[in-house]
Amino acid sequence: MSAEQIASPTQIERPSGSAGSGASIAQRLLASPEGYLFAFIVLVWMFLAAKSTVFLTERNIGVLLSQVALIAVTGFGMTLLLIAREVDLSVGSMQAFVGVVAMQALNEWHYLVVGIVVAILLGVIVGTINAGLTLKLGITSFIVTLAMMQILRGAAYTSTNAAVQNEHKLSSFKRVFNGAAVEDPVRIPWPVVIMAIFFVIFSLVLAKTTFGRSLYALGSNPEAAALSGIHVWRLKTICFVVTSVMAGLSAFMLIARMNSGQNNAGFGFELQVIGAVLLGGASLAGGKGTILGTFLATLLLGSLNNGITLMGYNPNWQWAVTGIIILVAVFLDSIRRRYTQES
Amino acid sequence: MEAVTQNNDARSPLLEMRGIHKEFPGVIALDSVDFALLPGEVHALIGENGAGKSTMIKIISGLYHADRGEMLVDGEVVAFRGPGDAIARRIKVVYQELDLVPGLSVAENVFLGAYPKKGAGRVDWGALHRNTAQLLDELGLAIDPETPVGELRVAEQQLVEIARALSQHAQIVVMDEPTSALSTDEVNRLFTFIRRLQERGVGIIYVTHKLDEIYRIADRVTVVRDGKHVVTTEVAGTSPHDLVTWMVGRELKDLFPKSVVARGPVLLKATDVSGSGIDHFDLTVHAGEIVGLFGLLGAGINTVGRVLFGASERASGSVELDGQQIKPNSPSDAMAKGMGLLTENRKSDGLVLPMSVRDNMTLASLSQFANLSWLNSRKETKAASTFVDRLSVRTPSLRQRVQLLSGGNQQKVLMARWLMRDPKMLILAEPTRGIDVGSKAEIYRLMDEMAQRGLGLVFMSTEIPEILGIADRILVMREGRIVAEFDRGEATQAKLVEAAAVALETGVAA
Amino acid sequence: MATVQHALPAEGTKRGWKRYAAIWARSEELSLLLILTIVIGFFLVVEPATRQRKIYWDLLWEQSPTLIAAVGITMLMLAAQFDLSIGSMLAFTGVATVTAMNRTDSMWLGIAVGLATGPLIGLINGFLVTYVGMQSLMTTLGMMFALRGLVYVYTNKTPVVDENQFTQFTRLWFGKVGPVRVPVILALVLIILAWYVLSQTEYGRNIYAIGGNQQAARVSGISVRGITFSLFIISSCCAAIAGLLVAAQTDTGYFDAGVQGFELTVIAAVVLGGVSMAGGQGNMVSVALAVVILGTIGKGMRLMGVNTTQQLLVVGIVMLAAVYYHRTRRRIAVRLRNEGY
Repeated sequence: MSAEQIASPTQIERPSGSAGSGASIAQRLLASPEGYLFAFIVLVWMFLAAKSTVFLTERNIGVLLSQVALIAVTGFGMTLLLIAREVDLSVGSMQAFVGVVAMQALNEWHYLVVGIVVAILLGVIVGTINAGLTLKLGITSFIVTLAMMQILRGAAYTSTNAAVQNEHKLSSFKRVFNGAAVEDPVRIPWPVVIMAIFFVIFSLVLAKTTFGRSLYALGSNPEAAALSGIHVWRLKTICFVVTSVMAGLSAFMLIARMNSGQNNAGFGFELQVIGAVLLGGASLAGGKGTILGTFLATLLLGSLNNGITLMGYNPNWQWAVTGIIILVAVFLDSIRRRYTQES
Repeated sequence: MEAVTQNNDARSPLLEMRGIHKEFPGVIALDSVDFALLPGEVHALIGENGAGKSTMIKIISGLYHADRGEMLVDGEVVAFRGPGDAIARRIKVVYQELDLVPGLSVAENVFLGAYPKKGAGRVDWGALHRNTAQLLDELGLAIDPETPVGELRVAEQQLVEIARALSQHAQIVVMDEPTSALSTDEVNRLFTFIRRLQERGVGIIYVTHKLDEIYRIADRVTVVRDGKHVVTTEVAGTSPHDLVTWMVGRELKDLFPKSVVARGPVLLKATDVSGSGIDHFDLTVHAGEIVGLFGLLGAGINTVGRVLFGASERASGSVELDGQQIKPNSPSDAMAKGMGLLTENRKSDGLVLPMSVRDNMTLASLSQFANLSWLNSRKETKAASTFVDRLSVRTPSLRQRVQLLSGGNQQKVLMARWLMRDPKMLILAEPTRGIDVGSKAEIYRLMDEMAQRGLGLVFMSTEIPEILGIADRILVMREGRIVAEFDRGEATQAKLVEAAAVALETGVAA
Repeated sequence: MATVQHALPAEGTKRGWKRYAAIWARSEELSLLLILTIVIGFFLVVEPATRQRKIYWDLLWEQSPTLIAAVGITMLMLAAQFDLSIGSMLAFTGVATVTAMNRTDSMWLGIAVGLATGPLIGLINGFLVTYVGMQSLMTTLGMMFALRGLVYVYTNKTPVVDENQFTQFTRLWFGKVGPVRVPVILALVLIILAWYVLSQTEYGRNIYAIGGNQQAARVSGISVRGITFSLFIISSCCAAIAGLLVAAQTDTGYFDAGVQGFELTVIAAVVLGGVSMAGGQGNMVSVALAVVILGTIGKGMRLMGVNTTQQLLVVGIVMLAAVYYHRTRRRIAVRLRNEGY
């Protein structure tokens, strides 16, 4: 079996039925992940708005979207990667590693830009290493990034004992997460703006450029893509690097939010991101997924978690909810695969 | 052509298919087919690729379920829920695609799923190895049963596959192209074995393209075409010409449109190419010329294409296209210099099945339609529809997922992809594999047109009629090297088969 | 009649060292034994504290939960499936056991409940993968999250203490049979059992077939679904046993048991032991050796005073090296085979 097949491990083959046909428009809309995710979000929002007067306030939505941004930004990168039939499990440890190092850099140099550049640079380095080990050594990205996850976590622990505190007290730093880019007519926090910008860029790239088209082809059928002159390695490397850079940016927003670089940050983050991307319509087998889908999935997850907090439920439920959502995502994916399989 | 079914035999059939009907989205694979297998007979099943043979086999083996109609084994109606049920009714199938487990030994493969046991589920290794050795011996294979199957040559693996089918005293054996990798000696031994099975009353369905084998071993023959049963008749008294006409539906010469094309200057010059199992391969192709490569399974004909294009490793030798050297192992370089490759597996490494017709066509020419990476959708659509017209691709729309097209139309989409690049030379590996007869003729016509427009074409095929029909020159390969070369008109089926199957050790090349 | 030689070439006609290289390249067990010897040798030389025999018995003892879980995972991975929920199982089983003990005031009922979690979760995993058709990697990943979450919610992130103070329970971990600790015996029994099943029974060989070529297995009438389903149950049962042992260590159901990448450590060991992620290749003995190797490295580093958290670094690097090593070894085996060795 090839490395690609390992990234999407053996599914027990089931007797396939003939593909369905002739569904109504409403059915078809709901059949697409974006469609039913949107429907679920509407339902959840209506429910939460009814149950809690705080939910639909400008402040709460702002908080909700900011938290969503932390995951979605990495998720956009991960979407590209999953389309390319690869995966990156190290993004969680990146939150800790980049967070710690970036905060240390900020403390050293007292310039916001330095922190951001460090985060991006670390992303480039880690992404390149991930790409190199996966492509050059031929080890599946699951294992490579699993190992990298350990390594980065270890590096984060080595770097500091518990957390790197904010010693620089930059005012611009505080604004990264809590400040607003726009105040009138509605308050839009910076993370939301950042997420929106990346949303537009990534969506356009995927849908309208040769890169995006090649990526979908590459993920669906790497052989065919290679034989059509597509530079498989080059594209995959870009995806790895972009994902790690996005993870770095997420990490930067995280330390702004927590006001410290914690070496135990990001535990389970990678699973939340991958779960969301899969829920949004991507598949481990590659070739599928959209930025909109990823965003909606993250929004749904975020809304549920937000609701849990608002309604006073035990916050520990968030783990279970994430797990259940992942299961639902994979379940839906398996159904989708079955219907698009050729008899 | 009327369906002629002759069954003067009083024996009751081992297997019967009545009105078996199977459809897939977009295509009728089997159209109310009838079939009967008598005990102790070798019943040949022939037809063009895509005619429905493999669907029939899959239904017999329990992998598929018929949509309509019924199947009877020993006079009883059966409804197999899976291969296990078919095996329980003593039906064994030897598939053409070798389906062995590489990590297990020969013995473990031969008796896969049916190991002799001694108490508590333990494998009786002694009995297993003895039984395997006995079977291998009858087939003339002297291999240690404990050898991991992955270590065997292709021909040996094929015989192991056959041994596996025979390991369980099957009553009905289906063999799908069992001799595609075998030498003459090995084929003889297999036939002796088959006759012995016949004596035991076993019924054998023998699927093959090789008409000469039918005359050697089969009692009756059934022809299918386009999913329909055409005729079932005694082999004795039927001429090969009749068989081919039944298979193809029309006279052979209509099938291969071939214009006389003036040979242009030398386009491709491959010298002493070696790598990936290919051994010192030389090839010259002129503009307007169609060169055919013929060989048995494992001979390397498709690998040559990949090596020339750079998709498989080229260890040594040079490839020059229109005066320019092509870098080894770099498909993008080959493409840039004007070469194109259509592989033999259009579904697994040619087309991107979930993508649309249009996107598949433009896949290799994206830079043509892009301004600084930004794709111009309208230009793409325009180019794609031009090609849909030119190649008569039957599709409801450009947005149709290419997965839903018929084999012939899929192949045309692939050809369009390459033609969009305006190449100098195209390599087509088994271009009509799995395509219905009607579409085949269209592909041949396209190839002829391309030759007329000055392209050089190299195509690989395991089907003799098509090689004889359209190639200007034919090269025969065996075990990675060229063993014979014929000009159009010189070659005959017999010469090709002989050249392809003769072992190198004896040093005889036609 | 063509006689095909598959025995090793005659003495003296081929280069001797290539023969040995071929034997080494083919055998996973030999490679790992070699590595183990090197690793132990390294520590014996470098760190005097490692020179006591007691250390090695303790090592096996500490590693027994990992060894036991590795048995289940190995069998599953041979069939080309994954189970990432075993880490959370440690917590789930532990909490369930002690909770049951508290509720029923019976140690044995508690243990029974704990053991029952194995088949329970295994059934769910197996059902989702083989009947619903979900991919095992992400499914068990989701289960891992879900189980951990349920444990968090139920315990509210506080350890579940054994209110009855069943000291007998801790004997599950601390007890000895002769000079050997109970967990070690359990682990050895399971390993030998698994080795036997995998190499000597039809069921075991069929596992290799499913992992090596699922289609061929199915077409031969092997019950791919049934066997795969049973493997998920086996894996979860092994994890449950491990979870019981872990709980017995402290007589407590700990909500964060296994949270620091237990499943990853087990998979790392299995992969280091030469089991291919694609299925169909590998064996139990090599995996056991691999667990011991990883354990030795960890223990050796601890004795040397290396920061425990830096071990994560080493585990990561070792995993990469392991996969690369086995890949290279197999490639060499193929090349030597083509040369007639």
